[in-house]
Amino acid sequence: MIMKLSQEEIKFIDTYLESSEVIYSDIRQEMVDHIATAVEEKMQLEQQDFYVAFKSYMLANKKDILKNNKKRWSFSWEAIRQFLLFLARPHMLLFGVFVFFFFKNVNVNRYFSADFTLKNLFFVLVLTAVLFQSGYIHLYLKKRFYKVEKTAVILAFIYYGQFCFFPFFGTEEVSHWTLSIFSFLFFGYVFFFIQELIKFHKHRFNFI
Amino acid sequence: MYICLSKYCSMKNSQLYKGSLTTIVMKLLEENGRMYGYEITQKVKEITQGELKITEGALYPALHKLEADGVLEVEVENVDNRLRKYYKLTEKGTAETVNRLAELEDFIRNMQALVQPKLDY
Repeated sequence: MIMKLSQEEIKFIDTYLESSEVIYSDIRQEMVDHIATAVEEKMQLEQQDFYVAFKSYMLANKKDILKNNKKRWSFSWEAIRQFLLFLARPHMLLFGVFVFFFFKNVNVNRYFSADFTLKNLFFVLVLTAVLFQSGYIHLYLKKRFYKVEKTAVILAFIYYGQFCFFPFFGTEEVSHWTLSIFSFLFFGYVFFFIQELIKFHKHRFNFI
Repeated sequence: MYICLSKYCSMKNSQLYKGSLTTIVMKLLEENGRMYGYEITQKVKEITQGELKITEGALYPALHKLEADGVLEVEVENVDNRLRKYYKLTEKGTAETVNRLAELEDFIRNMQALVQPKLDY
């Protein structure tokens, strides 16, 4: 008879991984299945009980399994690569060109002074995105998913990236380059995040 | 002989296999339709009679990258009290597999010609 783990034993593996700092539900879920299948096989072949089989499997494989773990706010080249690929799509490039010509030809300086743009607008926009993401994760989802949170690193880059615009500011006017680049990156990020959320929700039942 | 595909594996031979990991996975999925992570590791072990071991640390990042690139799609099912993630090739992935396998065959043919020039491939 094939040995199958009980719900309590599956829960035990899940709790063990959670206490080993595997904080994201979607990553933990896949690890749980991998470990549970290996442990079941071990119990079957070596006629061991669950705890003995689990302990001996984890002793041999824990280090390798936890390599998949993404720690909070971990840097992800993959997320950045996906974002850059998204920005390079034709419709986004078209959006970038539109934004550039808009700021080049429409005088927005009466609304966007350097002081306001630098000290308020960029910061407020980024902060709004951060607050929305935090609220969405902690208040709406109530669980942490790497698929959703991996984009945070891009937002951090945009936040710190805005400081690079400092030298481009004149005393009076904001450069149309500054506004175009920031708008392209920021709204590009918003569109990218929405796309990731739609993908996540399409398969959300997979993770709950 | 034991070869592992882990990023941190110290076996020299693993270097030869690292670049082929995604092609191996895609080939297996092409043959088997859909598979889950543990099944892939066991299948590789079985086919190579234990000589090649794909470690979890190498397999899952590769699967996630292929999924993000639209080469694989995922189906999740409740199996034996837990959720199991099955991977399968997308249309794009099926076409990509053909290209990757052709590239790999070319590579093998060239290597064969270089290391054993007198042996017919």
